[in-house]
Amino acid sequence: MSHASTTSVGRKPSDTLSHIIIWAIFAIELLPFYMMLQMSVKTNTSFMTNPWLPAPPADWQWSNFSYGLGLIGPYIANTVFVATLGTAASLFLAICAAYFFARYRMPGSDILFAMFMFLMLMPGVANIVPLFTLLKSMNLLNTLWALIIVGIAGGQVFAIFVLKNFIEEIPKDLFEAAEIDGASHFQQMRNVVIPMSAPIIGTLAILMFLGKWNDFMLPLIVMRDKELFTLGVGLIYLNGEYVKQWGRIMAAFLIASMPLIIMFLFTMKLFVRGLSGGAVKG
Amino acid sequence: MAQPISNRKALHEWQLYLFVLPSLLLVLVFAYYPALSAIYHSFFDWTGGDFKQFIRFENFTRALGDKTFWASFITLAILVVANVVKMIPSIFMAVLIHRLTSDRWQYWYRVLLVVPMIVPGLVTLFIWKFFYDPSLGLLNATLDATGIKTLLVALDTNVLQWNVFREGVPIAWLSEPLLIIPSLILWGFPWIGAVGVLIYLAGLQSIGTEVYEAADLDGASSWQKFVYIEFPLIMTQVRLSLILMIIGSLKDFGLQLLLLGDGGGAGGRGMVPGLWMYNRAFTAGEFGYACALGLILFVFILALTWVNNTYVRVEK
Amino acid sequence: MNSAPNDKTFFEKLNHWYAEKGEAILNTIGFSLLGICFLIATWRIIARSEVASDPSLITIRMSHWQLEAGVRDGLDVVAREYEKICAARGQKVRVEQIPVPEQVYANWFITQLVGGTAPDLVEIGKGSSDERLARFFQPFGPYLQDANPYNAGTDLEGVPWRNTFTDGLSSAYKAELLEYYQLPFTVLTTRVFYNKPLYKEIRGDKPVPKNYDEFMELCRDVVDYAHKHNKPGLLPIAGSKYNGPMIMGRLFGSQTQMLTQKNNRGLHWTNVPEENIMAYFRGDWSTQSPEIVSGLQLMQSVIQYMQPGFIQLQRDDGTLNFVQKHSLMIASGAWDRTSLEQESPFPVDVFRIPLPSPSDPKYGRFTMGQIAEGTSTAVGFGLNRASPNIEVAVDFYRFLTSRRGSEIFAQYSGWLPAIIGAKIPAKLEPFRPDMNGYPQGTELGQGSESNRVWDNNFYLLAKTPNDYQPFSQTISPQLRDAFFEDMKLIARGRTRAISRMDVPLGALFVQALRTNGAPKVSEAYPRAVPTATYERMAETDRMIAAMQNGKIPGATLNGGRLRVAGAPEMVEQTFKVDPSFFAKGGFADEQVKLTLLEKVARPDFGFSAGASAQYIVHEHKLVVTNSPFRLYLLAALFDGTRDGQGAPASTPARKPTDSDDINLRKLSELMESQNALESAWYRYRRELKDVKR
Repeated sequence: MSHASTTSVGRKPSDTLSHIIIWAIFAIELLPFYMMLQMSVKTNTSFMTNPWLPAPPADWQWSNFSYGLGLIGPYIANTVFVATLGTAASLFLAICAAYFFARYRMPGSDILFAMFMFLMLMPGVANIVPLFTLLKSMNLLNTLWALIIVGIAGGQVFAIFVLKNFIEEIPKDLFEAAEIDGASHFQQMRNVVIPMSAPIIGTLAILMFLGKWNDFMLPLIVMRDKELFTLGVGLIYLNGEYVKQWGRIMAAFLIASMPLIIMFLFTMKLFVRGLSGGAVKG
Repeated sequence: MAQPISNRKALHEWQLYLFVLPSLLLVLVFAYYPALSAIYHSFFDWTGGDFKQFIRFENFTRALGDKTFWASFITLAILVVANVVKMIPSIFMAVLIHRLTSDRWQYWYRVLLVVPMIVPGLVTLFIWKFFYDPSLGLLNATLDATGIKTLLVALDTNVLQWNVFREGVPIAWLSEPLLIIPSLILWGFPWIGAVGVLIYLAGLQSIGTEVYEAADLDGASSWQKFVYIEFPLIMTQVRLSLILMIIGSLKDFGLQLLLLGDGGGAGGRGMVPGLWMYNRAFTAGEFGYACALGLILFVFILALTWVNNTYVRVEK
Repeated sequence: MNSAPNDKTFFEKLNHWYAEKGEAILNTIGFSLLGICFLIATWRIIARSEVASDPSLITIRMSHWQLEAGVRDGLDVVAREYEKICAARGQKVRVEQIPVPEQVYANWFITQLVGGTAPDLVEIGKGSSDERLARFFQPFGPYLQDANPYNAGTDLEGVPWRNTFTDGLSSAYKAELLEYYQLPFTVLTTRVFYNKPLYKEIRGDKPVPKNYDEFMELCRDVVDYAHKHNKPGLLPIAGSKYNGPMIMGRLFGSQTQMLTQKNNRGLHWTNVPEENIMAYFRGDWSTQSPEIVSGLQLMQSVIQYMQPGFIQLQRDDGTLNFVQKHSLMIASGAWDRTSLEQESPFPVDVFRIPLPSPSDPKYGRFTMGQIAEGTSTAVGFGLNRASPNIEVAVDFYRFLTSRRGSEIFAQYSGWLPAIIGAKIPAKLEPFRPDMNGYPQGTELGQGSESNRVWDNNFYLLAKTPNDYQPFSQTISPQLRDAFFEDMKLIARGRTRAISRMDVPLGALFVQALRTNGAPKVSEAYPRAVPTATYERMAETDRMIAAMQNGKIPGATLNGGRLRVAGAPEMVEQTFKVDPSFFAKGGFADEQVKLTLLEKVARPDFGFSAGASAQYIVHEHKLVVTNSPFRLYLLAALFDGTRDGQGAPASTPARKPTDSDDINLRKLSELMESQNALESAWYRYRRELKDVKR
């Protein structure tokens, strides 16, 4: 850890303390991840006798993973389809709408924006029954499209709200310069909005993708056929068992988050760099 | 910020509306229709089926006299105030990371921040439940081992008179009414929200090193730097998180439902308005009444958001 | 950049490479991976949807929340077996299970029913109400009188389906709706599971406790043992929100057995919430009644042997505590046997939950004796009215509850069969339900609100284990309000469920009364209606006949209103009905019925409309009577039983003695006579159907 401070120019003595505090916080924050990893290869008995430390590699129960894969494996294709399409469409529509709200004050845009915002404030416990009857009347029950469309609609409000704030922060000159170059609205979005608000788009994408990835209530209620379930449903089944096989549960959780981890490993720099906001300086 | 467009010009630029149209349509159909249907049904005696009975404002008059409902707002208020305080660690963390001189470490810490987001919430729930378990849990074991327990017992017998910390009896964190709210508040320690920290960091990024250097020359303390340089810059982000947090915590009841059940736990102390709605709708089958409660809650959220927008101003 | 290699950590090098050129590559790889995954997923989905469905294939789906080990396997084996049988008949049938976790079952149940997408067989219990049952489910009644064909070749051949169930379906009968909406496929019994080696270590060869006293002794032994061997973590009983009440509910219920019977003015022998609530409002009992106090004290005596704060623990926490050897015992049902045996690293055995015997000096006063098992709750599926394959679904259910089917199920699931004479696997023998005994008494909670109040205050019982007063005093004022809320809900639900059938029925009743020699009500009503209506018509016919024969002592037609001496106040509300309603003569006209319903099903009736309201249209007025009255009439028909002599129902409650024969044997006789009557109805109904054709 000391490498960091020795190689930096103009270091301050307090950095070491900062590192210690940060690592202490991460120790707690990363505990669930660690537990998931080490529990995923344990049997219930070895977990109970030794909950906190990893089991010796010789005792690792790889069968947990084959069980977990057997349980949720069939749902991965559905989940990828729903989450990818849903997130992409959701972001595209939200960026368009946020662009509209952030760039122009058209007649009626205040009212429209308020309409979106009101929705964010609505507590929606009893809404599930009307939503269900609506999907039924649209013949969307038992289709993946129901998940995608409801997911897109559900993600709009928050995304528009956040994106609008960020697009408003983009210096006006950039848009003006683009307009002088004769850029259309779509070109402005592509060349100004998306690069400038990449960080928040990345964060929103992760959040949306995660939400759709783990959602279980809607798929459970909307889907009748097992072939159409998504990962969240598989996980809730495992967790709904009365005697919990913690090893299997954690293995399944780990399998379910694996695609996310892989995706993230490859693209984290994009997101994190985006979040450091380097682009905003331009 | 936004460029005002007059009515006349709007006629020319009508195609701009197309940008918002798809979102609007989707939201109208899939979010507004169910929500409006809920408002409509709040005037009915409705059990979720096709049979309903128009009863005017009866659900609302009943809600006005609903002791459980109003008591749940007190719990909610305490939790919201606690949540405001719980935003501080995220800001602190962001500032801490931002002040590091090594860019590499800053980068890797950001990466690490994202990792917990990938872990399913049920894992975290499992660990925290284990933490609070009265006889096997980590919290009681720690308190016993460090002798803090004795201190708490002494505090209880001499000052608080709550009769919740007793020698020789493990502390029942989630089945003792007076301890439920503290336990809910402690939940999730050290309260770092990855998204929050990342957003704050994005805000802090725009401070150039020269500003710090100037501050150092002036002999500014860490605290002064925070108050005069850093905090004003992330005010937009803080305000954003504050609004989202308040809206979120007013509607949220997932933790209470999972930990304490739909009755709100011992003494009903964990009961929040959202949970009461859920209880009425799905336990008692009174969907109409739940809709009315939702509408009242909506008015509260609306008012709070308005207050937030009006009084928590951002100076730019 | 060019500094010595040892100046750079691995991370720094990686970081450097990454910053230089890696990022673009990795991003490309990452997004292409996602793209490829997406394409594969899309392709799979498209490929799948092209598989044409076979139109001759009948799929029967059943949903349940029984995620315990074994159950899904048991149902699967039975389903495969049934598919084979169908295939042999040349019928293509597939039976599928839809297991839904308990936490979300109510949500799922409600939305699926409302949306019309519920499976053919739906487990009933979570999220169901009388209203939903009446609205969405097809009663099993019409099928129960026929023999189950899958019992051919056994001694049950030719026996009506109903009589092949161990309890004669007494647990499945819904008195409020006068129908069977849910048939049991298993019987539930609860036991105390214990860690066998640990028991031996503590007590040697001492036999397991048979009654409450011996049970307390065992608990004390465990505490002594833990103390002596310095095992402070060892407890006698593993409690949780779920397992704790298994013992405590039984103990409490043993003290309220007599009270419950006293409260009960209807003909139910089971525990009826609204009867308890009404008795509470009459002032017949309170939280300070000796029975309740005794029940609370009994609970408190056990609470101290469970983990402190166990009420915050969930079902799996309790199980974990037991299998981790932190406790000697845990109370649960036969349904947890497979799970517990699989999970425990030690052998497990069971004994019945020990209750105070009537000779117990302290707790014997209010108890009638051993509580009969296997008659209280039914676990089973309901028949979705919207199912396109009702007959096949019923046929599958016949197989599931045939002797052979239930034996297969018991063998693979480790759950008890619900069919007479079905072989109980040796491992299940200790769980065999003992049908002898008395009904269990009530607990304090009578509905969602009072249950919540109970849950919210329960901690007070645990906090002062020697004093029930803090609990009683805190709960009393809340309980009153809660009972009121519960009663309103019950009344509303009943009103709606029953009123669907009662309006036309009541009208016909009056019509029959007015015109002497008019055809029987059930004959005057030729249209096909939901089956339960026929039963209620037949009931009306019987009432009329009984009155004409003077069989109901004291029943007179007085001023157009039916009065029965001693019956509880029956007329609560009267409404004017448009005379055109009668002129039309079309009582099956749904529109008219609904208009009437709008008028009737007013929520402001509150509980004054009575527990299960009944409507009788009389002289252009709609008269609402309450259920005790109707049940009183029914009681009068079974002459000789209970209050059948027309004695006022307000006579001091029966004080049961041993000679009084108030046990389930008597009840089963009673059920039998009711069954006989019912079968007459069904015969009658079938004849009617034939005539119609």
